Amino acid sequence: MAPDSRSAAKARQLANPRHWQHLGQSIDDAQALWGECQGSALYQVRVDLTTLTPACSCPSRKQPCKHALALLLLAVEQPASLDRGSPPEWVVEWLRRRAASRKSSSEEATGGAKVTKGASPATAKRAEKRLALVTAGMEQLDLWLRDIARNGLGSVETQPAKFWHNQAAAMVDAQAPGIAARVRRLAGIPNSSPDWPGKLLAQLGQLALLVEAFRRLDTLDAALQEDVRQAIGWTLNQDEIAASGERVEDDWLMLGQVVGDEEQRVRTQRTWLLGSKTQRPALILQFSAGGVSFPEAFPIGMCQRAELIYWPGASHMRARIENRREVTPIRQHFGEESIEAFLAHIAALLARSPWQERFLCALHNVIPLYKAGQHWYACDSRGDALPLSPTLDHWQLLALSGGAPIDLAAEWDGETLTPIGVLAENTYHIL
Amino acid sequence: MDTLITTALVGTGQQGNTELTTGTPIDALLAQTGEDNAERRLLLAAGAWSVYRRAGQMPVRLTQEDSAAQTVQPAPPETLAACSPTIVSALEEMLLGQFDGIVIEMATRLREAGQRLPHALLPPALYLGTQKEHLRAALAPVLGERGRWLGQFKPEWAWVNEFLPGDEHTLPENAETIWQEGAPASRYALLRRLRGIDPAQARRWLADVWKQEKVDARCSLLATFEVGLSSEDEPFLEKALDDRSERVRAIAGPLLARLPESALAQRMRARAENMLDYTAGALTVRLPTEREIDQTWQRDGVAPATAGKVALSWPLTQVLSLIPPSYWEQRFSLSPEALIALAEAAEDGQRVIDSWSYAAMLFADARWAAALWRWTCAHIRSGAVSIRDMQLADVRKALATLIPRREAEQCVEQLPAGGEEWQLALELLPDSWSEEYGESYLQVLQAYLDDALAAFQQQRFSSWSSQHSPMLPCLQKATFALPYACLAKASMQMEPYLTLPLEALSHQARWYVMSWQQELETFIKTIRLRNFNPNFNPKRDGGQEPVPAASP
Repeated sequence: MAPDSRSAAKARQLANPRHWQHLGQSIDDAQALWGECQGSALYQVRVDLTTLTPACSCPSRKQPCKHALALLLLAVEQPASLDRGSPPEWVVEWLRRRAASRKSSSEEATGGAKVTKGASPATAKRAEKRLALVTAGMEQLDLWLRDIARNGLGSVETQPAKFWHNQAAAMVDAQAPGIAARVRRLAGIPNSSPDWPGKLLAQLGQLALLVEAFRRLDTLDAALQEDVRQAIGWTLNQDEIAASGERVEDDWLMLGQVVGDEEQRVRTQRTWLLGSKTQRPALILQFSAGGVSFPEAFPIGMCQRAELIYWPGASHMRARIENRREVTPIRQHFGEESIEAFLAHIAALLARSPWQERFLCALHNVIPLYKAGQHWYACDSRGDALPLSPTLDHWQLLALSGGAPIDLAAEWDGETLTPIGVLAENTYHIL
Repeated sequence: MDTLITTALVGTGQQGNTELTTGTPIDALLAQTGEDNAERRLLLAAGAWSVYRRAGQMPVRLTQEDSAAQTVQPAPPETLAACSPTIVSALEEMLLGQFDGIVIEMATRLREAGQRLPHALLPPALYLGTQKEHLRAALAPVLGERGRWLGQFKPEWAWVNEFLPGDEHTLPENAETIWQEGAPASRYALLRRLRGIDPAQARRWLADVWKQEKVDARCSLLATFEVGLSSEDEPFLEKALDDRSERVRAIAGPLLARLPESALAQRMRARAENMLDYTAGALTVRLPTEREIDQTWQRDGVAPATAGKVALSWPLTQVLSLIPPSYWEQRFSLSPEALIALAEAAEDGQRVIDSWSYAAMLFADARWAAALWRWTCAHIRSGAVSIRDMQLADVRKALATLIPRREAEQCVEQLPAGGEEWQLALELLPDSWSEEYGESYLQVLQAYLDDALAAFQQQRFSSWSSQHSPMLPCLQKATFALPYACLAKASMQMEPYLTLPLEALSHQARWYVMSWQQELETFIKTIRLRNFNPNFNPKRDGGQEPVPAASP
């Protein structure tokens, strides 16, 4: 959570009850921590545990500041130093203000949706203009793809990165950023592995499918239309999601996070959730540009009661979280009973929404294996196995399982699993 | 599918053949599109195929051979309790940090509390022990059953299963295997253990492999003879004096010297006979003459192997350091203190005192060690002298370990606190202080800081700075030598210095204070890490479930 290592180090120093007075943790649903920290002045520090939102009266511009981090550390390492009871007035007041602003923003969101419905002429005109741009762009993409197909993949093997980036830039100009990102990623494929022609062909094929789907957009069902539009790069604003997204209330297992490589100075963070009652997977995407921390923090490795709003579409994967409430440790088992069942689910999902690239994989009772000193697998009770990412080592996973079955949470990219968490001996560990 | 890729590689333009079949239901799908553009047909087929393939992904069926890997027995249940979850992040910081001392101390304290490392921290602990051999002895006992189980998966981690049982009188079941195939450090520890149980058996083991061992192994394995050393070892050690490596000979010599009846001990006494003489209340040091020094001196490692111009003081030091210091007491009927005082007055006497220091260490003579330590504290000065491949400072450190801890510390306390001599002597003290000394050190440190600050404020900067170095005295040593009982007090006592107002100070003074603050910051940080409590139990000591922790 710390914005930088210096803050973390400072927080560790302050994480000592000697620097604090009136430390406390609430016992009711509000779930807050508070305390007064003696720094250059006496600072009032509080953390809303449901969203891990900190607030502090110090002038630091770093978020969260060292005082808030120290308070969290204290609560973890020396829970006895916090009195359990009702929060003092300055905390109650803050929590009330937060609740009020949340409420008003969600009201705004629902109110805003109505406005969108009766879209103003200007908005409609903008949308029309964009549609024209994208349509032209997709035609140009079709031409570019066909050129490659005609001249053969052999002809692009030695093309410089610029060849791909120029096309990506054209797609940005055509206001199709989703396509642009896909084209940009193509640059890394030629000669990256012995089977690169197959990989490149698969990606080009997916782009061609998108072009085709866009051409026939009117013939597709509404959910798939939504997926195609999102894959091309139409974004939904919060109001649209709030208005038409499906809302699911559950105790959400916050299974883990993966932060992708920086692309165009933007890092993408994928947080994977699983509904403990509904068994529904969900993905929360966050973006951060220029090394700023991601806007929202989640209690990874814990379970939180909350409402998810899924993006409209056929994939039912990307979601936004709202109305976050109490947080409890993950104790219950989770995941598919067999690898076969998991793959069957993936097949069904791809049939609905063929452009999905990454999936949550939650498997119940699998054993991590290290075969012949080089290959890692997760193996289920039937003897079926899926390979674990070959670019990482999985010693921690092996150490936690000890050769016994565990519940594994991982990200599945269609070929290998990247473990993100494991439930072993009744305790959930983030990997 | 291969035809699809082949077609795509060459391009539809040159192929002529635009008939694409994948042999999958995709063919039928493609026919439905009615697409007649060849390129587009290829691309769409490829797109559909990639989805088809991803959706049809099959699990890996592990083969017979693989299921052998699967039959690895699960780890046996743990016999030790896991440490409290509240200290896990502190332990991780220690394992990933840079202080070996802290790792050893942490592991020792966990072991004493009957606990083990949590499973999640085993990989970093195993990596650390693999990288740093000297940490293995401390880490091995807290790895638990799971750590030993993990050790089988990576050849570099084999050391985990080569560790000896806690009971000093037993050998592990796989002793023979460790001896034949183990890592150097494990073989050394095993042989040392066997020397304590059955020295003759250990000697036979070593004799069996002696010829094929490399020099490093010969040196370290021969050094185990210091355990259970007896006259029965003499023939083997005497033969080692003919070893082709000088380093091996240098280990055999002192071992033989410790056997009073050994031929080497007698040869040494004969050589030393004329080196010291006590007449008319004065001690005379007589250097050996070149004529005296023959081949046998070389063989015994007390003369340089290559003849040439080497000061004759060298053989003198070498011979005297192998004579038990008590020998001189009896011969001249004088106390250690008296002899040291006489040597101090004699020409070349300093060499004699240095040799006696080595000998006191070699023969573990506590009375001589005490006398020499007192003398050292009273006469300390910096300078590097080496005796028998050891720095004089290390020899003196060894002396301090031979006497009761408080006695050694009190000698240092008598020196002017904070002064240069005090610092030098303090560095020689063993690395674990008594509580009394810890407190006395903290007082000195605080006084040192207060004096300096007072001097700064009164603008007495120049006089102060000419006498002192910018480093705080012995703080690095104190970081690890302060006993557990002093840690909380230490960080509390030093913390106020981190937030001193600097505005009023001169530029130069501010620089001093700031560099001290940096030192103190590291000191306090490390002290806090050391000050963890393995017996803290959140259930018992208050608190419920730990609150959610986002990884900081």
